[in-house]
Amino acid sequence: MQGKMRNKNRKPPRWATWILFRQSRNTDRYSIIDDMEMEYRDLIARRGRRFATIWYIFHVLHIMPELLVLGIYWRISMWKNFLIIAFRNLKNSKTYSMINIGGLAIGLAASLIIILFVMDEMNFDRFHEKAERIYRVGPQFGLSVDDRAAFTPPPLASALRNDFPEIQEVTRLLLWKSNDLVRYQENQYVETHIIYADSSVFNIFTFNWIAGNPKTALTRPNQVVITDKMAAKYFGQEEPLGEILQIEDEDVMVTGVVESCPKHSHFQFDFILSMVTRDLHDDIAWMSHCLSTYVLLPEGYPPEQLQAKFPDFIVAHYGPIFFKETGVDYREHMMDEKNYYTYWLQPLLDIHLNGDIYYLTDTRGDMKTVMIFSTIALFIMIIACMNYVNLSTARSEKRAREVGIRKVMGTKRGQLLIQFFSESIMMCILALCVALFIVYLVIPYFNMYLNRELEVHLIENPMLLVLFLGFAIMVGIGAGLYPALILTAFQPITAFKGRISRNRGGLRLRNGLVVFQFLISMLLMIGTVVIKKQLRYVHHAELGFNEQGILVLNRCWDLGDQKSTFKQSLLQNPDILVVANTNSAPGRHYEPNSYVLNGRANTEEFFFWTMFADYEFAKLLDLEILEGRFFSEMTPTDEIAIVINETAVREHHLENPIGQQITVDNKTARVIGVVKDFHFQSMHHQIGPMMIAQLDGYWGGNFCIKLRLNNIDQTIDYIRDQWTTFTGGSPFQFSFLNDEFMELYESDQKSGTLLFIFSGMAILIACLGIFGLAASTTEKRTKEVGVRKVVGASDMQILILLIGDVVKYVGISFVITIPMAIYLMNQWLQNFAYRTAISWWIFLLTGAGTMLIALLTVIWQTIRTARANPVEALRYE
Amino acid sequence: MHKNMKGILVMVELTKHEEILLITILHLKENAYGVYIRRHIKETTGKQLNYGTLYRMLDQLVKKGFLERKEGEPMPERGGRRKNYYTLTKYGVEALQNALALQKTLWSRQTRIALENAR
Repeated sequence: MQGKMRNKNRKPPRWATWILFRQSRNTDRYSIIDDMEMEYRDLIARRGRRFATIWYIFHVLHIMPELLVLGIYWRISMWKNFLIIAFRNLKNSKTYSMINIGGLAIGLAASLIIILFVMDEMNFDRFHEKAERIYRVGPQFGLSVDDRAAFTPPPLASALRNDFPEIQEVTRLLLWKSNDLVRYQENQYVETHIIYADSSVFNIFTFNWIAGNPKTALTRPNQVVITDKMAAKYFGQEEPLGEILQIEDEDVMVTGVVESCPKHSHFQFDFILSMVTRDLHDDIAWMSHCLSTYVLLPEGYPPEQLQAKFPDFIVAHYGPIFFKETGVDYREHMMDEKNYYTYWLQPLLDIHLNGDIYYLTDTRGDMKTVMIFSTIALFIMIIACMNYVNLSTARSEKRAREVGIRKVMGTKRGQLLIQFFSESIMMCILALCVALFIVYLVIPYFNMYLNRELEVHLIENPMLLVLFLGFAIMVGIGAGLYPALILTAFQPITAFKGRISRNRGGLRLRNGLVVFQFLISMLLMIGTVVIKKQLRYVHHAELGFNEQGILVLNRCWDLGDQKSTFKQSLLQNPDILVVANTNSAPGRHYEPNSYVLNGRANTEEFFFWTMFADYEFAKLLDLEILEGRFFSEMTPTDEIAIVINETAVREHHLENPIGQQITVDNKTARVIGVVKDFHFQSMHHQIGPMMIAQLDGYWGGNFCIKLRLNNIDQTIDYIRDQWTTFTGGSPFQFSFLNDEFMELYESDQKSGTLLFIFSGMAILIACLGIFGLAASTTEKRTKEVGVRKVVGASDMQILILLIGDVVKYVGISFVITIPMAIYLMNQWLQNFAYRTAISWWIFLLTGAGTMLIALLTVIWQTIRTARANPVEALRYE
Repeated sequence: MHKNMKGILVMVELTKHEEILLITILHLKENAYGVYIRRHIKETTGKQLNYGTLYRMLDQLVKKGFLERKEGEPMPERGGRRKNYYTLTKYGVEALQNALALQKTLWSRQTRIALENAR
């Protein structure tokens, strides 16, 4: 008897039971525990306590695998259940679901495209195997980082190689945009991507070889390596290796074929000529900064270590030359801060994003642009998520009943949360599919526009798919967090009563979100307008010269010694007004050179942007001469005549500019005139000191031709005919000055368009948002409207009441937008030395426009509600 | 093939284990609890099923529609929880009958004789 009573109170070891409990996750959890307990007690009676305990423990451990499997089955069916319910919910409220998915899809698409773009930008030059160890050497003309530039003198490379054994490899690239005629048999084209490189270039940079030997390809003069595209273009199916091409009538031999240079490289090429082909005055030209030098450092070698050695290095190499020229000890010269000069090392991977000084590479990226676009993407995503949050919480009252019932039935809050999360994740994944579809459609246009090769090859690049999926899920959780928390917090009783107590906080949040959405949209719109305005300003601004009807003819060296007769024949045509010979043109490249002014200390160098032109130049552009005169047809034989601009006079403190002598290239030049400042560069840059030197003869490479503005086509044909006659078939290459000038602002134009697209998206999303919100509020307010009508309000008054909310929110966001927009726009306009004003009508236009769009979105619903028959409305209950 | 209560098509041929389980539950009638099922199986077939396997199979059979899980009275030893016991549904009975018929056809007289002669 006593034994039996003791049995009833014996429990199996608690820890073992606990394990059992944790392992069994299905509804029959307690069955197993209880059954085992029963058996345990039985065993105590039959075989004793110790045996029973051992059996119990053994059994618990033994069961674990099975329970695991059981748990998995159960979990799968639970998730399947959630998904089915989520899907069913989506189907039940089709309009809301579609609005939500639509908004999310747009947001996702925008973000995805920007993600791809940013990834591409950050991955420039990464395809080189040794990318992390490659650095470009650049000069630094002062103490701050702003004084850094990109181009280095020719003798630098071999001097580096000799002096620093820790540098593994050095190479040079000459990256000037070329304009050369390439010919093979009957094929001839003008090529713009011909570069020069040392033979060591392939030891540093990685390019895939198709034919030829990298070790010997560029070791001797007149050797060229071409890309496979060029091989096809000129040689077709023939083997190009060993063949002779003519580049500008010089024979070069093809010694190698490589795969085309990828687009995300900071330099592009179609042809690489051997550097030794050019005569670069290796030993003395230490101040001629014309090419790019790259070094390969060993693994883990910090660039600062090498950088610190440069000042002494410079003294050792340049010091003697400087002393010979000026008689001054270089070290003393360097004591003056103004004369500070050293080299700096730029990591290869930083080059693209940190811009390149004076636009000499093809692709110029900008860290700032990347950051700006990333932020925009982030904001668009946030808006889309806010839509989701808003719509879900707005629908909360509808779902309150469902939640109440489920809670009564015993569903725990955690399960409900998972339920709602799976709903939002599912919507996000659906939105992702739509977004991917949108992206596929839009990417080709983006690539064309931005000159990139963005690809969305999800199959080839599973990491990308995982990234996007992960992103979508994160968005799903983020957006679904708040609604899920709100929805699951309902108490069943209040839910059943049918009316949720007005959630004050929720309402304010919802309205705050609407305000934020419109804020972002308006900012983007204002940004677009300002950019367009600045571009128009730049387009129409006073350039200081007459750019209308100026045709720039390139490659004039093809005329040989017939240049003057060509010019005469052109002037025969009454529609041709002026023909001037120049080496450059406004908007093109000017040599940034420093000269010594006679009469000043010959250690001081003065900076001038330099171009060469003949006496017709002033007439060509209608330049205004302030002092002195422009060139005359006769050229002085002993001196070079030069004309400088106002800024030069001012910055270099020249009291009597006329007559000032300057040493140019070991010859004396004399200032004979001062010209009024004109914009020879884009408006991004402040007008700097400039000098125009007189061309002696016709060695300038361009003819700038001023045409009468009528019959332009015929005039061009005439010029073309004359050209063909004189050159016997050389390519006829020309462009119009104002077109070229506009190209300087290409990246700004692109930014403007992109901003326009994104602001459109943002507004679209915001409108979707208020559309959905309006739909839900109108349902709720039908009763209220009915009552008001019964009491005597007119249709119009009701309408005003309903619209009043929308107006209020747009108004509030407008007010907040103004200061932010002003600040941001000023920041962007800093890019330009010459800017347009931020006028008030921009804000008015944007505000009114947004208000109009917002009202249009909700008008249909509000009118319907306002006109509803109060009888019908009150019957709603 | 028939559709069980969830509308899912289910095979009527039972696996050996399922057959044993169903027969056990048939025998136990009102007492088809976890403990007793296990004990009964041990006694009749000598197989020592552990609880994990047992409950997994029971769950599957319920899903297939052969068994029904019923709740009994709350019991103090179980802390007020109810006992779960299992009974055969009509599909379960049908399945057993089919199994029996299949058995009979397979193990006909000829088969037994063939087996004898094969030795």
